[in-house]
This record gives sequence, C-alpha cells and structure tokens, in this order.
Amino acid sequence: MAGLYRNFLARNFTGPAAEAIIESESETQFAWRLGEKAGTTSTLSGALWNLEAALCESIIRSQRRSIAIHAATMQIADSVALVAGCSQAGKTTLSLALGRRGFAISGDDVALVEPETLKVLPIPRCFHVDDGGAELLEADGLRLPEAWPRFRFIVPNDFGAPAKPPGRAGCLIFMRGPRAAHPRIAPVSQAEMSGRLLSESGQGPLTDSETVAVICGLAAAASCFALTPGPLGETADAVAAVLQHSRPEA
Amino acid sequence: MLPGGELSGTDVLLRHREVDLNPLPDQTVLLFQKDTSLAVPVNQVGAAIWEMCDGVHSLDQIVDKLAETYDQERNRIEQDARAFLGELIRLGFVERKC
Repeated sequence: MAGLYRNFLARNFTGPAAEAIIESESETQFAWRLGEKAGTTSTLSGALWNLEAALCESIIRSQRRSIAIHAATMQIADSVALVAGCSQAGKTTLSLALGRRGFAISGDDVALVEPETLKVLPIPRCFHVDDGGAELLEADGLRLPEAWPRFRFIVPNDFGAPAKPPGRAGCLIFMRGPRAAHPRIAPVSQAEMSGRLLSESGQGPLTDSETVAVICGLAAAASCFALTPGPLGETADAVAAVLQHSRPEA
Repeated sequence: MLPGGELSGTDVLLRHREVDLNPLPDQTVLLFQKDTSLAVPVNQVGAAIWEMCDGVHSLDQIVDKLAETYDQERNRIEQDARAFLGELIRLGFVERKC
C-alpha cells in the first residue's frame, strides 16, 4: 500500500503512523485494524475493502486544505482528466475500460484539488469490481488480474500506470444517468460543470465561497462535457476520443 | 403581482444579498446561495437578467433591454425571462421588491 500511496508519502504526509493489520480468525471471520479503527468481516476482500477505506479517509483528513471530489482520474500527458459522477454512475467500470484502451488511470473514486494551485491529486484507491462489472469488462476485452477472483479489486499498478505528480485538469466529464441505448457526450458550460462538481465535492475547512472559487477555477481551465453512458465499449470509445483531444489551457 | 403569484410586467425584482456570482471565461455564470449552498449555472442571457434584478428594473424593462440586445421576438424573450425569473424566485435567489 505504501507504493500505491507514494504520492502522499512524498508530499510530507503528516498523519500519525499506524499499523495496518488483517488477521484471519477463521475461514469466515477476518479482523482488520488501522490505528483506532477496526472491524470484522466474513470475507478477506471485505476486510481489505474496509481497511483501505479507513486508510483513504485518513489521507483525505491529512490533506486539510484540499477539496475532495467524487471523480475518477486519468493522466493525459502532463494534465489530468476527471470523470465525476455520483455513486453507481459507472465511474469504476468506465475507468477500467479506459485503462484497457491505454489511458493511465490513477483513481476511480476520489481526487483532491489543491486550492492554491488547482492541481489534482488522485487518491489511488483499489478498484472494486463485482461480478457484473467483471462480465462487462471481460466482454470489452479486459483481462482481469489472476488475483481478482480472490480479492475482487484491481490496483492502478495492474495496468502499469505509475503514480505521477499532481497536474491541472484539462478535461472534466460528468456522468449523468440513466444509461441510454447509445452514449452521448456533449460540451457543457463551465458554470454547469461547476454546479455539478459542487454537488460531488466535499468542502473541507474552506468557506463556501472559497470552495466555489476553487471549483469554478477548475472548470474554467478545462474542457467540460456531460456524458450519458450507453453500452460500456461504445461509452469508453467516445470518452477516449474526447480525452485524446483535451489539453489544459496554459 | 398577478393572481396566482405570476409575475406582472411592473414587478420589480431584487437579487438576494446572500448570492455570489461567479463569472467564468466562457461567459457563463455560477450563482451560489451562501446560506443554502445551492449552486445554479446560468448562461450569458441569464447573467444579464440577474444583473438587472437590482431593485430598479421592472420585468417589462428587463425584457425591453434584452429585446434591444438579442435578435428574438419580444414575446419569446418575455416568456423565457418570466420562466427564468420564476425559477429564481422559487429557489430564493430573487424576490419581488415591495
């Protein structure tokens, strides 16, 4: 996990050191602990999931001045593309399908934005893939790692995507449902994107006005699109085409 | 004000003091109500209407000014402006000046 989160370790992560522990108490009972947080689940993958969620939460809390956005993150040259959307919108599956198409995916769930620089720091959480998602991804041509059936998650490094330093967002895509027969991706105004991102952002210690200013600044420097997803392969192809033409403004 | 709460042409509109306006490079605007944290994206025409909700302009005057600027039938402009202002009133971004 230290490798997965090395961007944060390199940035003087100041949280208290805590051991991450998983213990097997029987074949159907797994205990996990991270500092003062602990729990028990019936599966190893469940214990890993909870342990990783606790670690992720600690990291978000340690980056006090940053704004958390509910979005998947891809590296496009020196910039970053964010695919935002609510839970169950399909960010993880789409991210993995884009990974298969050669994009360096660095997170599927949460990214942090530095207010002063507007740089985006992805939180490289493991990608949790259920049976339905795996079926879609395999139909799209993705070969899941051998360990997937045991743990039910994939890490960005499985795609050979190295953690890169934070970059500014060049492209913002907001997923909105319901799923259509074919995907639709269309430019939206920076104001609309700002409004949508605000609905998927955590405020942190900033004031409302500061948060709005940061989100508007993020949208102002990026190409903004709304995506109505369709079948996975078509959707990933459409998004890939948009990402290849998006670069941040100077 | 007309019966049923509909706006009349002589109604004067006033922006809520607790709403921030955040202009963006593509000429769109994000209105953000600080006390409810509600954000509303607005296009260029909407931003112009918002600016005229200054406690001085009536609905008729707002429509007249828009008709001078935009190449659209006045009826259509009035219809759109009424709908937009009605929504802003419903959301608490704008109120009628008494």
